[in-house]
Amino acid sequence: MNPTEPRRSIRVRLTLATVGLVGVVAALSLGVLYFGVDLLLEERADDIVEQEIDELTDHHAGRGREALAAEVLRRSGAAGGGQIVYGFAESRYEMIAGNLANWPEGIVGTEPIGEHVVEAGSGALRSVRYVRAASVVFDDGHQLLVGHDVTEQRNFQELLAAVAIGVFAFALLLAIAGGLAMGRSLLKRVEGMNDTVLRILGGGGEERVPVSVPRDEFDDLAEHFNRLLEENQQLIDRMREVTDDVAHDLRTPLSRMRGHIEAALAAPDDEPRSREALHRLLDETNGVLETFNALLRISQIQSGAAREQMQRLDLEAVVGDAVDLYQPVAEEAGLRIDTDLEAGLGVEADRHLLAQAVLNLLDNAIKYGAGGVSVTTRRAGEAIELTVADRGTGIAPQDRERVLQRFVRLDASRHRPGTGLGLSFVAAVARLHRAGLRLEDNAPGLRVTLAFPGN
Amino acid sequence: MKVLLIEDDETASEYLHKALSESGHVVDAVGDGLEGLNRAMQEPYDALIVDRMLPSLDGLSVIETLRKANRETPVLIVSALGEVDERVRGLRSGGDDYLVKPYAFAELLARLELLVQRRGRAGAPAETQLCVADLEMDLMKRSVQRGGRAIDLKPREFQLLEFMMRHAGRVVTRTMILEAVWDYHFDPQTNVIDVHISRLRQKIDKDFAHALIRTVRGAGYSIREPD
Repeated sequence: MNPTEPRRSIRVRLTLATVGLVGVVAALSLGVLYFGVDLLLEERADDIVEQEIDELTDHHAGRGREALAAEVLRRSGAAGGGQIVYGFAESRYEMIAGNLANWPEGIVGTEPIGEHVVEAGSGALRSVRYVRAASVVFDDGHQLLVGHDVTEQRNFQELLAAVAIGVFAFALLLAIAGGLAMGRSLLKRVEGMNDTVLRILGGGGEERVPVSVPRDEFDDLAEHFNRLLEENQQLIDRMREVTDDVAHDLRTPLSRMRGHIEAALAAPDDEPRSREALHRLLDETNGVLETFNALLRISQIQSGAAREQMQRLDLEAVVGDAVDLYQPVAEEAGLRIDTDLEAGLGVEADRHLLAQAVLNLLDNAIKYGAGGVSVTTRRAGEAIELTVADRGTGIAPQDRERVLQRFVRLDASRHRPGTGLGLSFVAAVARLHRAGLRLEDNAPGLRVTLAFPGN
Repeated sequence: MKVLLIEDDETASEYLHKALSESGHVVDAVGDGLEGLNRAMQEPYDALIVDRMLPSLDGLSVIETLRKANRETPVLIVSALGEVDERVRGLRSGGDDYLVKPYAFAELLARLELLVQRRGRAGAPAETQLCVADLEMDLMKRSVQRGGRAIDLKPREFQLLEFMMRHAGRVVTRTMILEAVWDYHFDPQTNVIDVHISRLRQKIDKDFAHALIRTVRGAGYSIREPD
């Protein structure tokens, strides 16, 4: 990791995101409450003011100025009058009737409903009030003002605003704290993994990331990660084993070759003997080359590069050809290969690889089997199975996994010709074809089954 | 025959040059793709041996250029790239056969001679009869007889014998037989071909005074008239 690379911690980002989200939600809900209340109460006040103005205008038109004055006086004094302010004045703003202390400045002539500050009441009850008010001027110059008190509403709104700011601030604090805490708990998990990886990089190959219960997504990640490490470890182990085995397996023929060369050099005048030594040398060289070729083929198959050669094949034909090639070999060994091949089974496969895998199995069956070899192909549920079975000594259950590894040769076969790569090749081919490979007891003998996925 | 060898590995080139000369062939050796292409365009050769990895122009491009110029000289490709798809690529470029390094010289020689023989016969009418001494094969009737006596062969045995008789007098190696009869381009690493040959011998040679099928040590087999 480059330390100069710009870094943005997840913690900061998480906190910012939480704060932003909480801020928007709080602002929205408080705003809706504030303006909603305002709108609702204002509408009610305005309705009342309009209605009063209409009624009193009608009164004036129908019964005249004096009657209106009396009516305003009556309404000002009525019980509900506390909420409504009235003012009836002559043209020079001298009050004639109403509960207004004086005609408010700024209201001139006929005005639509608006918000004003007025003084109402008299004596000890005189007070400043917020009202929604409208005024009207009659033909004779007299003026009428009706207003609805919204003081309480304004006080409520002020309170609401104060509370909103408080709530908002509290929510933000909570969000910051929550974001930081959440970030920290996430980071703790990530840092746990980070530390493990760093320890592994530092040479602690056996380290694993802890997985806790109950499991969450991080535990899933940790487990997948552990599985990856496990597989990696196995690969490293296997590679080490293979390297050891290659070295060991080559040392033997190389020392024999050295022996042949020494023998030839020791008898410079004995031509038949040196020729014989050279022939043996050639055989040994071919053996070593064979081993290398087989190894290369296996690793090429394992790399998956051969997958492009796959095509739809008739299993009966491929297996039939292979048996055809090996039947005489079996007969030389006093065995027979019996076949039971179902017709019309198609598999997606590389013909050469599949054929060679079958040949390897036949070769093993003939080498280690006795009494007969049987080759079967059949449909088994979804899968298409190819089975090669012998009636020899078989392979003990605990060795069945091991014999698939490179160069593994069981004691029984150690002194027979072979590279120890035959079953590794079969396993690699099976894997390339996504086919299952089973080694089972044929009682007696070994039964090897390749199960290809059906279509 | 006259062979052009295009190979940049000097040790391999010298060894091949010497071995081919000892087998009675005339060899020109060059170590560079472009130079090889020029030689092949200017002089008549019976066959080319081309390595794939060459300086200045790779082996497959040399072959493709030759084929575009309608030079039909048979080409044997030799390469360390042994995977099946590499072989397919080699043959698709216009090569006639593909041999993977390291190879036995006998294998190379047998394949080279086969290529030249096959090219010499190209265009000739398809044979319906093959004969070696008193052994006769009727390709239409799918029947074989020796000295007038019918011999019963299984289909694979027939194919094997046909392959050998088509190249009578030449050496065919075990891998050539595997390729021709089973279409397997890999080495099954056993004596499996020897077993098939020995069965064929049982039917062809056993009851007759002169054996037609011969083992060529370190190389393979050959069917030919008795000396």
